[in-house]
Amino acid sequence: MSIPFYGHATAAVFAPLESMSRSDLVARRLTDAIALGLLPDGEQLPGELDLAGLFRVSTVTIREALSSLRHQGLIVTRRGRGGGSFVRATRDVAVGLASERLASLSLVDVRDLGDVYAAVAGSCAALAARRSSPEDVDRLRRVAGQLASAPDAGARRRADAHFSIEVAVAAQSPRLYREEVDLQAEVGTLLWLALGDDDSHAEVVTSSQALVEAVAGRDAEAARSAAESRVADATVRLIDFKLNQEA
Amino acid sequence: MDGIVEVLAVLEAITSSAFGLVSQISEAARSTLSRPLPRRSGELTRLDPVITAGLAPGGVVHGAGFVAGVGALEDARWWLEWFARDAEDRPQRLVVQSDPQAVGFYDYEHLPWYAVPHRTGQRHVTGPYVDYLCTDDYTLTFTIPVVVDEVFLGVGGADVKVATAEQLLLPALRSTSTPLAVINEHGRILSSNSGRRLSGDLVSGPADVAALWADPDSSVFRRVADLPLAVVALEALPA
Repeated sequence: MSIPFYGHATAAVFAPLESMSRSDLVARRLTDAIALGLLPDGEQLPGELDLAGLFRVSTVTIREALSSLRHQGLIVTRRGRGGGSFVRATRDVAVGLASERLASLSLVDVRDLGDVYAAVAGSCAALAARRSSPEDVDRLRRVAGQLASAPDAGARRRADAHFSIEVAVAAQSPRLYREEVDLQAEVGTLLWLALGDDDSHAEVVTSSQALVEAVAGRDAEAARSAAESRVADATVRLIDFKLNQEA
Repeated sequence: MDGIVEVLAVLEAITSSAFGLVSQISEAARSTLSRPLPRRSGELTRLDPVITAGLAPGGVVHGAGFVAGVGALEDARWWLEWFARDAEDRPQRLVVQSDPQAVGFYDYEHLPWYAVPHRTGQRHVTGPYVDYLCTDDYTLTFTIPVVVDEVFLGVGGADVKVATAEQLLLPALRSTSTPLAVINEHGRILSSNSGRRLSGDLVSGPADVAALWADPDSSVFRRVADLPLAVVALEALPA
């Protein structure tokens, strides 16, 4: 078989398949969902058969993954009637998971994640400025208002995620929207290690309001630049946080 | 204008098949919710056969169901009795995050497919838009308010993918040399026969769009019945 040369893209196509085992992949997916709060504390996981169907793997694989989560204290399993696996996601657990993830990344990894997130967030904002109706602008304003008045770290985190999603939706691109969601899953937890205090919150609120005004004024370049600085500010804080932690 | 009537006919066929199903669902919801109180989410499973029957393989409608009014049910502040066709074309119940404290939760109270029929009491078409609550797809949503004893209790609804609508509209759009677009009340393009003005773009500024809608049956602009959908000749607009 001959492989035409397309530069680096080819290397990515023919790279070895994910080296983690299937049960590790399932465990990683569930751990991410717990860390993000998508599976909140006390939530009952679907049964082993249902999970196997959802992930399209065998029940043996699911059992291995659940056993690893149980070992890490992320779920508890109760037997008998009303039994099943339940999420244990106290705030400490979520912060612990995110810290471990951050520690495993190099500074250049973090910078690179920030670069990609800035590219996606910037493009979403620029398209939103071109394509938003007055109704979309009203919705963005309302969500930015909720972000501004969010009282604690948890509410700020949810409102910020919601705001970014609304910008991606206003771009009218399902693909960019999915990129935004995937990046939130990957970067979101990390960012919230370093964000959520009053100082960083004030910065987030200012940049989100600048973004809304740029969209309202149909100024694509101003919207792009506001979105990029939102991500850049957060990346700087995250890198500072990582450096301080390791010092 | 050449071609407008043909495109309008296809658009009317799409809206009447979507609203045909939504009317059935809304009627079933109205009769279920007219039973003696309390109103509970479990009773809405009575709608399931009506909903799934409307999701035939290869049909125009991709997802459908009933969305309860916020606070209308005794046991759930938010509730979606909703089905969508999966990759194998079988109707699957939609499970959404209804815990307001979780990250994946989004209150639908302010989303246009819910808020507009709630406010106006009239049926509505929302979109094209990225449907982040349900399918993550580029979608049109058709909704009818369900009202019992003058109390708003939710909306019946159906989703049509933009790609499906485009597939149906394209033969008519391509058969004319007149540049035409199907737009919504904001001037957002659903489908067009011009590479310069694509699905999702706004056809023009808010003032031009308002002027178009002010004269709903001109030779360059034709509206579908009472709905926020219309066919427009692009030359009627500033470039």
